[in-house]
Formats: sequence, structure tokens, C-alpha cells
Amino acid sequence: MTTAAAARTMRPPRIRLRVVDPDMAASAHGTREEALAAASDEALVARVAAGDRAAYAELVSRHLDRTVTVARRLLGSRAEAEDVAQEAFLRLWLNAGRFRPEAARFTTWFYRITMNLCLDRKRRPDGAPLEAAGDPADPAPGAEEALDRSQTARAVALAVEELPERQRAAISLCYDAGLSNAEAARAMEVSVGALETLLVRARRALRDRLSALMPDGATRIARGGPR
Amino acid sequence: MTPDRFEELLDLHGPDLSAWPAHLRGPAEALLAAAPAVQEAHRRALRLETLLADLPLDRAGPALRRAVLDIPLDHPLPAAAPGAATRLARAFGTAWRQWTAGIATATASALLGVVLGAGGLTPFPVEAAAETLGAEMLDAFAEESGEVAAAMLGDAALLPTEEPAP
Repeated sequence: MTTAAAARTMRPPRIRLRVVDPDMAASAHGTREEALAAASDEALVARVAAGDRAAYAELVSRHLDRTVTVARRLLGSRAEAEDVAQEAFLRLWLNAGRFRPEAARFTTWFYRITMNLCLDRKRRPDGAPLEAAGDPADPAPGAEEALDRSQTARAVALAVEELPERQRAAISLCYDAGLSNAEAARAMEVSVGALETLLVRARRALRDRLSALMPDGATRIARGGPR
Repeated sequence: MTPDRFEELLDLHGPDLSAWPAHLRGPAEALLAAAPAVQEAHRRALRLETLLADLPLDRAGPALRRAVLDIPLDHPLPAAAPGAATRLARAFGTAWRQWTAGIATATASALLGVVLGAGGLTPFPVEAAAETLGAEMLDAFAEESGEVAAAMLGDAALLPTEEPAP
């Protein structure tokens, strides 16, 4: 496990929550690019509403991979996930002025858009079936250790994809998108209690399915565990 | 707290006990320290948390990234319609500026007058008139006072001497 991964062990990854305006930060940071990189999502989306393409590009840089991941976990199709990501960012560009930072964090607002786009696609009769799910992306293998990691990640990703849709959405929003339980609940438009119930069921199911990767069976995966 | 309850809470709040509600933390830590079965459950929860946190993100390909970055070029935002304040400024801006400029000039003039007057740098016409009037009144008053005093004291010497008729 990498140092960064170890640091994330205890909690799902969190997206930074700093309210910094790029113009104000520009004096403290060398260039406008650095100022944008230091700005909060909420400050950036306010700039996007004013037509700032650089602020938009910064948000793309921060959230495109996460958006594709969340969409693919829900839809099971890489191609559809890319379509959803593109549509989600189009809506961000066109509707940034509707975002109200006092009502929600940017991530809650944006991933709710993503979730709704995914649900719309799943409701379509021609939506790709879940069985069309592709393999998860490999985490840049480079050595034997990386290969082991890749196999483990593949097993975990498959276990996640076998979860019921709403449990999968809850897991993806909390771990892939880095939302808190409350934020994920708002993104899914359910109560926090309902979200926590989904997470509890998902964790139990994953623990059962990944028993070979658990501490008392950690070596079984290396001898040909679930693949 | 029972081991079953601990496992329920483990699924609900995750393996980081510091993130649990404060009133549950103490009993949970005590049970965790004492019960091997609970320690095993905790290790499994910790492992699952690690596995989920380590799940790799799907990297967007260059074509998708380019398409997403090109959205602003393909969909330029419409020019924003002028707001109410802008429309008001356009309608009444010139008149408003003229009016405020007139008010400012008048105020500055009044202030200058007050400053000059208070500093005695220029006499007020009213003040000069008052000084003249005051001197005349004092003379008349002194004259009248002398006559009254003489009448009361009977001091003829105080009365104006009249030349005896020849």
C-alpha cells in the first residue's frame, strides 16, 4: 500500500474544502494557474458562471476521472460513462450560474447531476445491461507488486459491481468521489439514515465476497482466490 | 456493548473509532482491547476500508478529456442580459450625474463660505451693519443715561449747561 493509500485507509478520500477566490489568491501565489489550483471548487464554479474557461479546465482536471469512475460503476459501461461525464460537464458549463454555494458543496451538486444522468440512462430501454460492465482500469502496473495490486483491485472492483445498484452508488460516491455520508445522501436524494443503511449492507456484502482478501485469508488470493 | 453491537457500529461508522459518536467510543475501545473476536472484526473492517480506498479511478482518455475541455468552445455562453441596475443607470445616468454634481458644488460653496466667515477672513455684511448700528445705539444710550442720572441726583452740574438768556 502506498503512503497516500495508507493515509486514506481510515476514511474515504476527501476533496479539499477551501473557499479561496482565484483573484484574491493570485497575490499570494505566483501565477494565475497556481491561484486557480489553490482555489476551492466553489470559487471556481463562480468563475465558470462568468465564462472563465481556465476555471472550468481546473474543475475538469479535478473531477473528470472521478466522474467517469462513478458513472462506470453505476452504468457498468465505459462508453456510457464517458457520455455521462461529457454531459455532466456540459451542464456544469451551461448551468454554473444556478449553483448556490450556500445550499450545497460543489461536489454534492455536481455528483447529483452525474447520478441523475446515470439513472436516466438506466431507465432507457436501450440502456446497456449491467453484464456489459468492462474490467476496471488497471492502476498503472509496473512491477510484480503492482500486478498483485492490480489483481486485488480487480477482485474488489468486481465485488463492488456485483452489489445492487443503490449500494454500488453509495460506495462509489463515498470512496470514488470522496463525498461524506451526508453529501452522498444529498447527491442520491435520500436521507442520511437511508444512505448509511446502504453502506452497511454494502460493506457486509463486500466483506463476505472478499473474504479471501481479509486478514485471516490474505494469502488465499495469491494462491488463486476469487478472480 | 456486545460484540454484535460493535460489529453493527463497525459497519455503520467504519473502523476509525475516533469518527464514532463520542458516547460510543469509550465502550467500543474497551471492548476492542478485551475481546479477540472483536479485534478480528475490526481488522477485517480496516482491511475492507483499505481495499475500497485503494480502488483505482478510471482515467479519462485523451479524446474524452479533449472533448470535455472543448465544451466552452463548442457552447459559448450567451451574453448576459443587462440587469435592472444597468438598465436604470443607462436611463437616468446622465441626469443623475448632473444633479449630484450640482449638489456637490452647492455644498462645497456653502462650506467655503462658513470657513471663511468663521475664520474672520472676510467680514459678513450683516456683521458690519451690526457694528455701525451698535455704536449709534451706545451713543444714544450714554446721552440718555446722563440726563436721567442728573434728574435723579439734582445735580445741575451734570445737566447740560444752558447759556443764560442775555
